[in-house]
Amino acid sequence: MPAKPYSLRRKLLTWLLLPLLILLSLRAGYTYFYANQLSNRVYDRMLFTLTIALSQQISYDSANRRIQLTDAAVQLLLSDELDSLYFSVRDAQGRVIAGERTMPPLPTELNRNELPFFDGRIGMSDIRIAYFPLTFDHEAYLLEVAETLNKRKLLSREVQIGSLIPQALIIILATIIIWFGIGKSLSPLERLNKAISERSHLDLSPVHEDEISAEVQPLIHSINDLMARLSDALEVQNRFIADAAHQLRTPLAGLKTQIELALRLNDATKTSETIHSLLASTNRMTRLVNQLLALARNEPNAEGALNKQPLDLAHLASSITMEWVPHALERNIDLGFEAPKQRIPIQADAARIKDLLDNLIDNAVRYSPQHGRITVSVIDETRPQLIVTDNGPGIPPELRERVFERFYSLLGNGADGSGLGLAIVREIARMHGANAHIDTGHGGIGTRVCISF
Amino acid sequence: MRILLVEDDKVLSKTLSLALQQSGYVVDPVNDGTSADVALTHDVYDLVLLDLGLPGLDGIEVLKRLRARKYHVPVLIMTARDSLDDRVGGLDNGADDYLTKPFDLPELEARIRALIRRKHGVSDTLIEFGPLRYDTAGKQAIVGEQVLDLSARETSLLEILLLRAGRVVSKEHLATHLYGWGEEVGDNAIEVGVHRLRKKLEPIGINIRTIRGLGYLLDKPDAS
Repeated sequence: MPAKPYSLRRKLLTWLLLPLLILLSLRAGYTYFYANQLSNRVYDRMLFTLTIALSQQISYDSANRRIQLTDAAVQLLLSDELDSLYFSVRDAQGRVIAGERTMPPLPTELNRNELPFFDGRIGMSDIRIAYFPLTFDHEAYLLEVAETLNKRKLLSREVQIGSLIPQALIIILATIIIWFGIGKSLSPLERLNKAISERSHLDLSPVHEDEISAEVQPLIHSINDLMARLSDALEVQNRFIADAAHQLRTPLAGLKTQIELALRLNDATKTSETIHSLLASTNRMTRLVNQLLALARNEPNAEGALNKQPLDLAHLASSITMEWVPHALERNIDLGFEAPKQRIPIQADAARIKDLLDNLIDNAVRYSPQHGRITVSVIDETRPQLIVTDNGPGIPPELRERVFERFYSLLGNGADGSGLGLAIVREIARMHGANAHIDTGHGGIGTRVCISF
Repeated sequence: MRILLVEDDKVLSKTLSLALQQSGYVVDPVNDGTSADVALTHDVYDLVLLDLGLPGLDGIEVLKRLRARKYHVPVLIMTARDSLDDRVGGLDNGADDYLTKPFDLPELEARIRALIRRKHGVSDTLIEFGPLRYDTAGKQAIVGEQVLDLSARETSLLEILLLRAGRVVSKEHLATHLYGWGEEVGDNAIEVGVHRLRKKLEPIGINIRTIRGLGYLLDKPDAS
């Protein structure tokens, strides 16, 4: 089982929405900070204007050394609907000599360069305080005007909410758009999936490519390519099975007839003769089945990979040839071997090269007349070559390609040849990147099969 | 000699039993793995002929159990599968030899003889070859009552050829077995040796064939 597949849609959504959310929250943070700043700046200016206006409404009673606010000033202080306003006047020593007694003291270090504002508290309320210097009777006083923060908070809240709502809307809309967009973009994949899952296992026709995006096209091409190869392989397989069944049927028919004949015969000599030919038929069938298996083993898509190893072609060929000598001698055939003294290194699968050479020698022995002469030779001229030469009947030039086809036998059906030997040879040669070529033997007599690596 | 024949194909089993009985063996045929396992726990055999594709207990499993009991009876596997993996698998699990179906009866009988001989630890000391008898212990070749007059090297050469009679013996094989380390061996030396031996064997009708490019072969006595 493969690992749980990830959803492309979920992945795309995550990658699009997560950064968007981060960007928007950064922006919300900035808006919060900016709205506070903005409302402070706006209302600070107003508070300062008020302070200056108040400073002109203060009267000084020099006899009693008392400071008083005019009625207009008091009206001014009470006119605000949202915030409470306070004022106080301090003398040079910092004592409150008029107005709100609980006014928080000035910060110890007033920076002359900063704007004349600071934060503080009266009772339970946070306040913003503006101050302004006054001079009466050559004495320095300080006027402080404070206001609670309601207006400021209201303004910054308004700014914040005003910008957050559209942002939230953007996120929601983006999610919906992306969700549908992804679905729309992935729909070719869904259609492809549907098209493939719904088809029969026998339908190996190409998948249609209409309305397919550039990203999906390579996938379709690969699938169609695989389909084409599968279809080819299947066709080869089917043809092979049909051919093989036909090829097995013929010798089976022979066997059956021979057995029936043997059962009917009363003459012991004739029975024995029939049984001998039974044995010969069985041997032919055995060989045919073995060759079918060898061919199946060496199919392009056969199981078991090619086991290529460095080996000495001369040594391998000579040991294989040696095994054939007794069989050749039985038929009075002179089987010999020729190779240079030095090693001929090649990369090959020894078991398959043995299959190949076995088939070549088997053919040569089979088709050579009595007292024929077969030579297996290995040479290394530009390419390593494995050659089997005989002085048999030879193969007409026009048939030298056809004999490599499966079940093509020069002798026709029912003869000794299975018609598979050279097909096996070609398959194995092809697997090794070698080619198999047929011409005539020495002096235009016989057959010479050459495998060039 | 008692042989356990484990083969599920009834026709093949019956035919093999008959053939082996004719050759003088006592044959117990069984048709499945379980019966084979039971037979091998209770009886003593000189050889087991084992098919791999069996109903019930698989042939390889029978073999494994047999070897797990430290029972060292020779086992010859007969199977229709001929892939290298199957072959190696069988031999790795303690089989002594391997034959692919369909096989020749004479081939099977020869393998059986060899396995039984090997089990009893006696390889024949006397090799008979046509009119020639060769004593591997005494290193003597005898024709009729007469000891053949051969040099030590000719005797070794004859022995090597006799042990592989009917098969090709390469010159390299002869060189490594006839000459020690450091001895200079030319192809010539072997050719001369073979030539001399050939001359001495000719009168009794034994022929050493030269196989082009490969080596030598002692012809089967009846073939020449």
